[in-house]
Amino acid sequence: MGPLGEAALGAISRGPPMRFLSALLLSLVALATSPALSEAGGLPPPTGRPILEVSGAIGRTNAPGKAVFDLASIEALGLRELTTRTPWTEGEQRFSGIDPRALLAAVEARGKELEATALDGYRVVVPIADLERFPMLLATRRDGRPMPVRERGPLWLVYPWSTHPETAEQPYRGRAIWQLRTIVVR
Amino acid sequence: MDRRRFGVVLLAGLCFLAALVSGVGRLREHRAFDLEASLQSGWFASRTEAHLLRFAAILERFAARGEPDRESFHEQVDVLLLAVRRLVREPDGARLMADPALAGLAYEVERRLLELEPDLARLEPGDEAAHASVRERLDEVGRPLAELVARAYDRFLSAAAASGRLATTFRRDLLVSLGLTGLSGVLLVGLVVSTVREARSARRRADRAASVAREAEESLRTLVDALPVAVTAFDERGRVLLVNRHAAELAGIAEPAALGRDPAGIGLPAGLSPAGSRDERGFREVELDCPDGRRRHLLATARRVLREDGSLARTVHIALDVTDRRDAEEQLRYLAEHDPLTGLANRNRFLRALESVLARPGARVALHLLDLDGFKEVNDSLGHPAGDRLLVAVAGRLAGAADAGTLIARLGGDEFALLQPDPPDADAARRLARRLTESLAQPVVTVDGRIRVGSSVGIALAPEHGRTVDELLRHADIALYRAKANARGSIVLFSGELAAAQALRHRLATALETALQQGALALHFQPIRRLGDRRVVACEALLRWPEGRAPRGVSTGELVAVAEETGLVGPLTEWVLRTACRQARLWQQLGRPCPVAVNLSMTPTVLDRLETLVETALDRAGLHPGLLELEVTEGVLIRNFDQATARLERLRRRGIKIALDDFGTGYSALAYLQRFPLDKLKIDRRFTGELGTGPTALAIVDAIVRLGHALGLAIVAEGVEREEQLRLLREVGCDQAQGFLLGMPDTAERVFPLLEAAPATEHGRTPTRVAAEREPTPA
Repeated sequence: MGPLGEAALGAISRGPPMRFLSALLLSLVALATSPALSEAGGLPPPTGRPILEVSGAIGRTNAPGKAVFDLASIEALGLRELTTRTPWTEGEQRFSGIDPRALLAAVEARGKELEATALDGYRVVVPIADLERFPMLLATRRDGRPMPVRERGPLWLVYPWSTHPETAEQPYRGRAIWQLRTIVVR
Repeated sequence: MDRRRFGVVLLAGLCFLAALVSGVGRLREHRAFDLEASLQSGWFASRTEAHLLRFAAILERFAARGEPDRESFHEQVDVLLLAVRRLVREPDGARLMADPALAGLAYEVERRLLELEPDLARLEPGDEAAHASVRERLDEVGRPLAELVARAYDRFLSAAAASGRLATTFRRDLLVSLGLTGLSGVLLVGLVVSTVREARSARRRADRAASVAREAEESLRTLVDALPVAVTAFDERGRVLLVNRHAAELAGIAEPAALGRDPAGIGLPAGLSPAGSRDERGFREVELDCPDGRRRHLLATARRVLREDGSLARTVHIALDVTDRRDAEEQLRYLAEHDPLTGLANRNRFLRALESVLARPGARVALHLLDLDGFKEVNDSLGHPAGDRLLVAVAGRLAGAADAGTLIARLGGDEFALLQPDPPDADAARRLARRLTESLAQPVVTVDGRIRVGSSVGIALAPEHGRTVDELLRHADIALYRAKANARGSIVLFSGELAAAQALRHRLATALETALQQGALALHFQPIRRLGDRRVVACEALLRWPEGRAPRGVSTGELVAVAEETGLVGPLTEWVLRTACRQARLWQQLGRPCPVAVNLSMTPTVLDRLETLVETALDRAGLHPGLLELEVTEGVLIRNFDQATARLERLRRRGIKIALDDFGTGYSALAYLQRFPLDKLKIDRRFTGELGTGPTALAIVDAIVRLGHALGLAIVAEGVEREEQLRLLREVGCDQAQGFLLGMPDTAERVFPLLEAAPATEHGRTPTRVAAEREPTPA
């Protein structure tokens, strides 16, 4: 969104009568910036090795009853960085990945929580509220390189432990699922 | 005590109490932290163990069925590596690693797993050997880990006990200080209240710890129940602590009823119950009769879990049900060792058995090779299914005739072999062979009717005739060969003479092959004369070794026999036909045409190519078919009647004459004569030789001549050596004769003058029926 868009939003969101227009405009902008817009009918199927399956209450799929992603199709949702300490390792870590909300938007998730399962069978429920409360990252890379399974890859739900120390304690601590493989939206 | 002093004492008491309370509080805080940390360490270690067990199950599936796929399997290797690294390298395991004994175990786990990792990365589904090695080494990873878990929980239990002792000490100290300072009841009550509150909070913490432990226990329990292996555990006195779902199903018992009881009392079978008090390395195989009546095969192992002081805490038994895999293996083994048709041992198994018997020092054994006579005819005339049924029946007969300890095998085709252990002497071996041939002498009755087969047996004895499998087989084969050459139903024991004869045949074959390659063989020709005017009406071509090259004492008959055995018969026949045709053509071109008679050895190799061989020889020489005669023996009629008849009939229509050689020596089945395409009958030299010695031979020759003439055949007498024989032959009306009296076999050049010059009118004639050459029968 360019400076013009911000100025326009700033102008129209001032008064109550403008709220409807503002919402409309916001959703238009969201649509325009969504990478999946070109495939309006459904998600494109992955070409690489699948690393994530999303199912449950979702509106878009690319396989029977689920949406399957490979590394490239996840990172296409908008790569960003987060540098933080973690409760399990020493020192600061530079993670890259996507905003988990972008993933939920891409599959048109309708739900309150995510039931996440890891490669080792670990399963945890993450409230979608967490994604709103904290600037979280669905990490795909550390120091710019894809994370191997033995280093908690290929996907790790990273909380901002450095800036929000409470996320290093329960109940958040257990929700930072690594070796993430499937998500069921409920 | 004044107020001030009381105040001081009170203050001192309060200070003392405050100090005591704060000191104890700090201690308790530390203890409580200690307690929870111990528990978490134990739980954390047991989670790592759960990872390992889970991976072991995945490994089994991957190695056996390739599920999950390779990439997912490697992911799971990584998952396990991370779990172990968290234990050893990350803060969660720090508390555990602070204890040198536990750290030692943890490092051991990590070291063994990292050593195993390259092999896991290389593992291919279905590679049994690699799988077994990986499984064993994964076990070795699990061993220190299991001990680590047990010890970590023991640490928790001792920490919990220490915490309880501390509370007791605290109360006693409080009472002492109360007695010493005489503190007010308010303070006392306050302290008591605070103590009670502390105690309650400690209990809550213990409850929470117990609930965490229960959850960990439940996850483990779920996992253990989900494993496709039977798991049982026993305490140090052998009473049941755990029976997982698979084990309960196998044993047909319910776990709740079994807990705490003696395994024998509830019918827990061996393999699932303590067999000894020691650890087992690797797995042992256990058979188990299940309540459902099936016998199952388990791969079982046992692991001891020790307390810190080294005493036995519990024993864990793990058993993998491999019945299906074992059944499949046994089926495979059976197939690999048995002849599927007869159920007898097959060649592989027989050779292995023979080898292992011969490997024993002082082994005595008789090897019998048995071959059916006339099996090919059954196959050819009744079809392969009938042949198969016959083989099954023969297998039954042999099994009935042999002793219980005798291994019977079908080596292939109609070839059987028997391994007779410890025959006291050669006669014992002969007696068994006799029983075998006699059992097959009776006709075999199958749905195809009564089939008469005979059998021949060759025997070789160890150690007399050989000490190796090869030697014995070769020698028994030589004996069998000789037995088949003898009459039907023969039994021949190997001997040095047999071997010598075999060696001679081998030398002959080599010499024959060389001679054939170098064009060193020669044909001689013996005139066949008409009895009336003694004119030469044909010449029989006879194979001769070239001058000075013949192995001593070898007859042409033996030469041909060798050629038939060695496959040289094809090239030899081709050479004889070509040479004979060329010679006949030469004579014709020289103005003295004379038919040449060639003896055919009708082995299957020759019979299959007969027409091609003959046509090629005629074409190359440019010879008219009427100048070629083929002499065959009765053997071909018996062995291959239909095929031989068809082929010879086609040649005969081309104008080639067919003569039946050596008539009277073999079966002389008259029925064949009628149906077989023939022009000539040659009376065997044996009858000719006996002419004049008595009335019998003359009567036979007379009968043959009359019979032959009745069938429209020309009759030729072989081996005429005396004038009297010639006279008698003429008297009974024989048409032609050959023998030393009428002309020795000689080179073509020397025979040539004996041939009649073709009359001008007859030059280039087309000889038709031999009957035309026959003289009128004297009245």
